[in-house]
Amino acid sequence: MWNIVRASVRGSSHRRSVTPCQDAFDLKLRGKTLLVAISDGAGSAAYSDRGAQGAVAATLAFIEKMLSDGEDFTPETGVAIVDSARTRLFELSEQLEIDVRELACTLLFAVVQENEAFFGQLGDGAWVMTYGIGLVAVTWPLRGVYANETTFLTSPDWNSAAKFVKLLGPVESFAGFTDGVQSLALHYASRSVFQPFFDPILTVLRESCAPEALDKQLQEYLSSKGVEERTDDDRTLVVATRRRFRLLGNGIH
Amino acid sequence: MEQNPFLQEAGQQRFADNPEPRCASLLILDVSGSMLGEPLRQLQEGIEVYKDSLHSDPLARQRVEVAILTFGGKVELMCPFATVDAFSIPRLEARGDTPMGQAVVEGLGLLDSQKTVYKQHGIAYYRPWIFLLTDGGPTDAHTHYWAEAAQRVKEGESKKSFSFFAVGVEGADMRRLSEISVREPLKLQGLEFRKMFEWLSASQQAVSRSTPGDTVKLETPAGWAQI
Repeated sequence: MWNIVRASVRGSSHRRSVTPCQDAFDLKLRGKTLLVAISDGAGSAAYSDRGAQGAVAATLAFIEKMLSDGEDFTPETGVAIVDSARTRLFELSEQLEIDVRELACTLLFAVVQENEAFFGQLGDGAWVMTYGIGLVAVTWPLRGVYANETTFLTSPDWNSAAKFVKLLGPVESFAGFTDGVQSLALHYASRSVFQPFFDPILTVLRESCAPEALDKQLQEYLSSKGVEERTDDDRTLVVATRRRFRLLGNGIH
Repeated sequence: MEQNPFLQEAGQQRFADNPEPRCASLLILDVSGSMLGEPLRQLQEGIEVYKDSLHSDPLARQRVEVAILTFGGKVELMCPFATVDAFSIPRLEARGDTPMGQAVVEGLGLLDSQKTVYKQHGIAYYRPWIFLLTDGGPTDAHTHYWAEAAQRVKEGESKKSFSFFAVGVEGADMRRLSEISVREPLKLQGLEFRKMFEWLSASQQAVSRSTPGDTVKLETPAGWAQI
């Protein structure tokens, strides 16, 4: 049903300072519905890698329960999804006996069903999707006044900063990524998706008969010199495309 | 070897061309008559150290934009904002009185227009720095400039519009400086301009390396200031 490729690479700045990769992500397939959650731990928070992992797990668990209960996706339930991740961070901070701010991280999630999709975002990173022959940004990185500021799950203003987008109709392909990928994939001045970044990835992914094998190659690509020269932050990228046809036998000539 | 399909088209323009985020650094320098001689020579040398140091850091070189405003007899914009690549150090000359209030007010205006340029071009930026350096006291303390400078620095700091540092060289009126600086003014040890600028450069390199969520801890200025 879906061809998916994903990779998460630790940034060179984190390798220098022996910081763990602070990005986390996971995905789940439930029937024809694809769930993705991605989180980027704050560089300044000591346990943000744990925070990001907890936020991703809690988000997916909450959405799965919503799907089981047949709940609708609305801005209100979107807030509930984000709040479930926040709750997990507060639980974790008690377990670890640390200030919850030490777990600060962003959150991106997507619930892509056969005929509707729901995207949520708190902080930077973004979701993009195909629309006609091109790609559009579903959400845009939330930046503070300054380049090194954003809003996290642990921020007091999380509720007003969270963005939700519901789309009716089938989404053909979509991608989510953290801020380490964002400056390569988005053009800020025109506030648009930089399509040449995604085109080759989508072409390969659409044509692949064994997409599982592509993860390692995407990992290599995101670690390549050309990418490293442009970003020294952790980078996570998940790209999914609906399989439209399945070629059987020799195909059609 | 198996080919990586994602790497095959490398070499083509595959990444968005986004401008680097900028960190504006405004130096407001006292070049009044009393700076003549050794202080001015050391200050000049300090600025050169500052430029070289920023230049040697690949990120700071692209991200830190420096402007120099001097006050001595009059307020003069010696260098508009530019990255160190495009930045030429002016020859400083000492003369006249100390219109410090006017210099700060004009500096804040310059910074505002630079922020407008960033916004118009969709350029992300870090919290700007203002660095005021003097060896005396303002000769315009009884004009509207001084009160306006104090008021606007206070507002700007509380809104986090910039970070304002005031540094007094031997002979500076530290009490006056604390009227306009929210942060405790720093007293330069001797003529350690060089160490002061090394600190400034190191701090700005740390900021220009930071990514969202980073709180940048600055080194203590103990190497050059009496604290």
